[in-house]
Amino acid sequence: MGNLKLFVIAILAVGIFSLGCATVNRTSGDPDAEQREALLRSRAMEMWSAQMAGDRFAMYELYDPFFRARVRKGQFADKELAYVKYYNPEVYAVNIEGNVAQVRIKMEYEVKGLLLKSGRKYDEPRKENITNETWLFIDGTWYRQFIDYITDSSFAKY
Amino acid sequence: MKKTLVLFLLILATLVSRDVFAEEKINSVPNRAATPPLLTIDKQGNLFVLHYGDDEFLHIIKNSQLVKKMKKDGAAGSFIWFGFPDGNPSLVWRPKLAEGGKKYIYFQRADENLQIFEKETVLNSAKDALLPITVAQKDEKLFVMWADERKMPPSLFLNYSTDYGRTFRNEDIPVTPGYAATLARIALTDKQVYCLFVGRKEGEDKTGIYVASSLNGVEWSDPQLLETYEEWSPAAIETVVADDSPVMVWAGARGIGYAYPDAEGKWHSQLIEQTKDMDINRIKLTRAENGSLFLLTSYKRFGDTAKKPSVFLLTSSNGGRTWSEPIRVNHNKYENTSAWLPDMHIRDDGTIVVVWQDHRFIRGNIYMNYSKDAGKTWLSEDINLDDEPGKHNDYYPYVTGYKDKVYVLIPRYQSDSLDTDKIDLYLKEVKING
Repeated sequence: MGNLKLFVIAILAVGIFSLGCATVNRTSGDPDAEQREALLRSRAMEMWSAQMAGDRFAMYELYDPFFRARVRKGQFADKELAYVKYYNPEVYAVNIEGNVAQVRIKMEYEVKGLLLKSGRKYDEPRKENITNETWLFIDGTWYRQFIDYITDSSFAKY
Repeated sequence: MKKTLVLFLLILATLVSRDVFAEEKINSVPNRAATPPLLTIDKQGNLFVLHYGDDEFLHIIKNSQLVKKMKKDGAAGSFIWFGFPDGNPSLVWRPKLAEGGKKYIYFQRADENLQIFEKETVLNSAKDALLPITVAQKDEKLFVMWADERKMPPSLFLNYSTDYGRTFRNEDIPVTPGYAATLARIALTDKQVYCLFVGRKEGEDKTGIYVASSLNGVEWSDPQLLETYEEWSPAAIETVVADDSPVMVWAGARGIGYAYPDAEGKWHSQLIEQTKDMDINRIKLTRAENGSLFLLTSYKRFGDTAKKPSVFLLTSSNGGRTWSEPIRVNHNKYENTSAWLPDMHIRDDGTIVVVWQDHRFIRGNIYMNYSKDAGKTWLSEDINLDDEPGKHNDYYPYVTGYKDKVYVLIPRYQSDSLDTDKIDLYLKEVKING
């Protein structure tokens, strides 16, 4: 076998081997840490912008894929809590550990016209609050983990 | 130039030999919900996967090819044992019959190619065999035990063969009359048969871990209470025979317990102190060729919501009398995702291969690590076995092997909805260097 032929085989073999290796323990395409954090902050603010605009469809797309696989978009969009208004959200703190991030959001909220069981309407004046959110890095971007705070349960099991 | 190229190719061949082969989907229909598949291998290295499909057939897959589909009228199966007592394939299964709620356990021998199955032997005398069902085989002896509801509470019955399954007793045998059982295992030694079970004595409200024994498999001792716990009861049990003596292990939300008889036959039992208050979710107990025992598990501290479970290996070099400190197997940097539900295979050369369900990519992937020095050291980085890390939702892997080959069975949800009735089965060969 000539040297050239051997060389071609070697190059082909390297190519095939590289393809095989690409399937093992790789996170190809991951942004670096700074990009990841910037993306997280951007996605978190996107969620709050959608929340303030009452855009439930946009919010839905930012929730984790386990939630979206189990809850239809229309079903989610129908559940808007129109009596709560949010103002001036900002990312207060971020802690990223692997593919899980904790995000603290500082914002103001007020309650206007919440209809109580008694038939009375309830208002709560605007006040500052900090909320904790969990975000998950899946398929190359961040998704907010949907948590049902009444049952403290989530569709995402990790 | 030529020498350089040959050297290059040799290096390449060495690297390739460490590679992981592509995963292969082997099921033709989704796995039936809540029925675990079975992975095993014969002495010629033929690989078998058996599972109940959502078409209610039992599917038998040999070397990745579906070779047989079996069904009894109206069957929706729930138990599979598959072995090679005399070299030929043998099957124990319970295709629960819908009509009239009849529940029979069948034993069937097959030809080497799994095309011809002998007429089934019905092992239970009544028609009410429930889970748990457990099978133990040692040389020519084959024991099958099950919970049976012909009389309440549903207690354990068994049937056995002393000729590799060619014949069984005409009548089955009550093992634990008056005791309901939720988990059970049989251990066969040269001289005795042992039945370990988690259950409750009729009229009592406390669940306990019991052992009963028999010299001939027919007459059984009264169950002896080994342990009972105030706040929890075991969710898993395993047995292994070491130096012709049984070692029994059980596990649940507060730790792992174990028991063994001393030379006089007196039973000793206790919790493995190192696992106290740990929420255990899967155990695998194996005896290596050199007699060492390996106990693989995964856990986190009970009630700890900040940390997720990790995979641990405990070893015993004195027949299960004492256990080592747990050695953590997985190497993920953060403990905010689960590494759990592990399985292990010990190769002929003593290499311990461990696979587990790991969520560091959030979705469950199957990871692997191995130790060539009896669990003391492991690869510094775990190996993700998924062809496309992070893309799929895999869970609860199984591993087996033959000589230098290792095979991993990967159950996989079809989507992020994690529907248990939409599960495919993937097989992957992993070649471990050396």
